[in-house]
Amino acid sequence: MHEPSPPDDLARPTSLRRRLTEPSFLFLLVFASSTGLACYVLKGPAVFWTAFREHLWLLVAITPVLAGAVLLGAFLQALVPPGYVRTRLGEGSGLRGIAIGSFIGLFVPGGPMISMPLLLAVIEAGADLAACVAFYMSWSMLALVRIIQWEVPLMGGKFAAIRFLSAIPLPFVAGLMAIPLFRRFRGRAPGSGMSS
Amino acid sequence: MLLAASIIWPIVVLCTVALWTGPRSRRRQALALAQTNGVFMALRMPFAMLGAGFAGSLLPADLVAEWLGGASGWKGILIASAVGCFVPSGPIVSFPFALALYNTGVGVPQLVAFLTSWSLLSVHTFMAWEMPVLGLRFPLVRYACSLILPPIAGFLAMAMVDI
Repeated sequence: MHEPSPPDDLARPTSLRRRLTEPSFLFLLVFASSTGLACYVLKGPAVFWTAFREHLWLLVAITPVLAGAVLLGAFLQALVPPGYVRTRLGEGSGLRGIAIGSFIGLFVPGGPMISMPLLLAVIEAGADLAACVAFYMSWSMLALVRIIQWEVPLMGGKFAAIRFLSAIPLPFVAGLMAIPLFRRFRGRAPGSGMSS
Repeated sequence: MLLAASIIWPIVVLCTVALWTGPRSRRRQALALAQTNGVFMALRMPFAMLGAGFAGSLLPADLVAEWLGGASGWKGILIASAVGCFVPSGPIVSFPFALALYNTGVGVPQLVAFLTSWSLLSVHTFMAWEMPVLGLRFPLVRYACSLILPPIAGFLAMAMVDI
């Protein structure tokens, strides 16, 4: 639990039956069928089929990008040694730590199942917490793979650029706010600091 | 699409070369990861895409445009920031849904606030991932520092759109 699960864990083959009963898959199944049904009943077949056609076409159009992103995410994960990000993130504190954390966040692909165990390992190794906050912010708003994979193809390059530029100062703002807050709420034991 | 594809594929080729010149175990790990992630996406994408499309067409367009349109200003930015907290699931739903919102007439600053809020303040990610893995102290401080960021992003975007 306290060690981040090795990447092999994520690559373990799973049976199709298990994959089809995963909560997140079932959620999407229910989401699509209930909105589809509601659309058909409330708005009529014409609106339903227009939405169906348009989004099926969008799916086809975005597939080459998604396929590339899936390969890129997996290859990056295999190429960057697991200890590398941990070492770099643990290096600085104060403003320098915040800058390093913000920068590293750009290049870490994947969802919370990758970033959370990584953060846990870094925090337990004694990294600067404000730097970790900056890393978290940057990873969730500015991660480049996610922007190229989702935002540029769906929302367009101009929108992606506006959102990216608006988000650049935010990891610094959050990191600087976090420094006094972490001082104010000192943890007695790891993870129970807010009880005072 | 073309822009994104032409950014992503050359990097994939570079990474492939780097992998093929490296150790064999790393290559196998990369391919296994790609397969897992590929099946994950292939199963979810059709439903996410269609669901987001249907949800978009169900939204009352005139109300959405009035509350969240480009002319809604800072009120729209605050509403969009609040809505973003409650969108569950990852980018697989939120980006198609953002596109549906965009087509319904939601303004760019409001969408920026929505997406920022979804990525920082999603209650679902907070409860399902952050607290179970990282305990209380770090997640609570992190979340508290994030509360004002979606409106800031929205205002910055508003300034940029005006330019």
